[in-house]
Amino acid sequence: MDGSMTSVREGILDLVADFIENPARAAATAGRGPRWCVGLACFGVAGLSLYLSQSLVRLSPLNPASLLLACVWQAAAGVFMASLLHLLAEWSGGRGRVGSVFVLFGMSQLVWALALPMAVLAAFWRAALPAYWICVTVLAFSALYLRARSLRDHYGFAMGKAWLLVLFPYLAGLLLLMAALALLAIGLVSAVRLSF
Amino acid sequence: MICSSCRMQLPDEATSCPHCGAPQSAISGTPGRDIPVGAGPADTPPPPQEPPRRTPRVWIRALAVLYGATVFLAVAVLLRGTDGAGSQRSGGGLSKRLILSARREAVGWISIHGPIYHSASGNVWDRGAERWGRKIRELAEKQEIKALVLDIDSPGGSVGAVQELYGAIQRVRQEKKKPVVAVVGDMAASGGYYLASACDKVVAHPGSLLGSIGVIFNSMNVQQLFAKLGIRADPIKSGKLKDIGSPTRPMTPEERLLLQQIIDDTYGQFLRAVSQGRGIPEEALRPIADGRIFNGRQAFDYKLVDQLGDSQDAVRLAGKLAGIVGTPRVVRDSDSLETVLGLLESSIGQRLRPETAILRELRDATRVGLEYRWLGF
Repeated sequence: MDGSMTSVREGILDLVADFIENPARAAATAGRGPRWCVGLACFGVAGLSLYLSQSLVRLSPLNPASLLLACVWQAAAGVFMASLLHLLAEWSGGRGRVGSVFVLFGMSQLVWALALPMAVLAAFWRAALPAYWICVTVLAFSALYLRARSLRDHYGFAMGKAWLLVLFPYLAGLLLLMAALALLAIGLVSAVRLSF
Repeated sequence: MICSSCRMQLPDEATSCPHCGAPQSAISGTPGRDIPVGAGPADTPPPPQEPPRRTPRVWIRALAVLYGATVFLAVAVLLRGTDGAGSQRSGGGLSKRLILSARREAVGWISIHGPIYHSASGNVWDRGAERWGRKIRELAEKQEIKALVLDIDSPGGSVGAVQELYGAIQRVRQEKKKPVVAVVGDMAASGGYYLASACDKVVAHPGSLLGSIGVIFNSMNVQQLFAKLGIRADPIKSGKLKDIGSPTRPMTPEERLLLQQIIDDTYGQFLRAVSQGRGIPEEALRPIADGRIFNGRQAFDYKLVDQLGDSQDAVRLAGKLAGIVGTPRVVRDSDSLETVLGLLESSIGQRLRPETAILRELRDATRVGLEYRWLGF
């Protein structure tokens, strides 16, 4: 039993280490059979890191329910994003597995673990707060880059196409928001002009 | 090229499949079976070998341990640093230093301008005692807010609305243990001064108007006007005092006596509140609590005001009472969404029904009822 647990841990660590050192190998390993628990664990780590970082920066009290919600939210967002991008990838000619994409995206989110040391530093030293926010921005872009790289390695796409796929949901969301605001503005202007 | 193992699309030059890891020959087809034409056994390239499985790298384990330690540290900081919000901790300690260094302590600022009444519509963005009371509570709840400054510029208002805000101020002082400083703008008359006296300290400009300690019941008799218009009121009532204060007839002596008793009792509440807030005995206060107004300098002489100064002085005083070193940061009570909704409502309302604004002003000017309000304004 201990031996199997050790080998499972080593397998997970291998996967994460490969994701950093040898992304193609990590993509291949994930492609052989998705390990949902690895993906969930990675999203859980990301959620924990983000929640603790924000709590440290705001010095808000620790709330277990909020922490759990943060982790669940990360996992749910990961499922949604993996499904959506897998669909888009398949429509654009790629062949792969949605479970593997979920695992790879989970490992992409592990970068958020780096936000925690910065947040601890900012909690002790307020002058480090701007550095924390710069770090968060860099990590956000890093997470996006790692997702694009995962799509490239899993589906065999070119990097440009992978970036386009990763950014597509955000661009679509932005366009929808702009359209909604435009409609709201038109509605308000029409309401104001009713008196004429 | 197609992978022979998982049938995924591969670049032509791939030596192994990036999807399943299966080794591939240099030409497409089944690995190891296709041999170039004319090549003998000696020319057969050896099959590519799968890289051996490595043991987990030490660095990834070290990273995992480091991350665990960081999480532990973060949780410890949060549990100790945010424990007992608002409570006084004896001595400095790492947690207090952490709070001080991570978030600069601030003073909350709430503006109470204009007549003080309950909101007419009940909407969250509507001006009124409910909104001000909510702002006071919200700012007092914030950990970084160590004191409050009430910017009062009001002639007073309805008794209920004023006492609602009075209660909110008392709760901040007694339950949250945070000092509240009132700063008077143009005036804090009647109900406005009722609120100022509830605060720990009152700061006023030398020329501000204060005082008007008293109660008024606004009543009007429009009987003669109605007579000119040919209108006669004819109410049917369950009791003789049901239409007490009615503007359509003169007040009877009995009604006047009853209302006067109400006024006297409500005045007693006002006097008691000011006496407790300012630490002046009621007997000493009564001679000057006859409804007269004072300027700031006179009020200072009567000990109704603690300091002559401006808003900056009030902020510094609030910081000093809270133990904040240096000039404190000020956090205002603005709420962007409520401001936008309020502007939208007034803008659209004025366009659609311009008479609404006029009616609202008339209503405020001709309110009937019990008020802590200075009618000179």
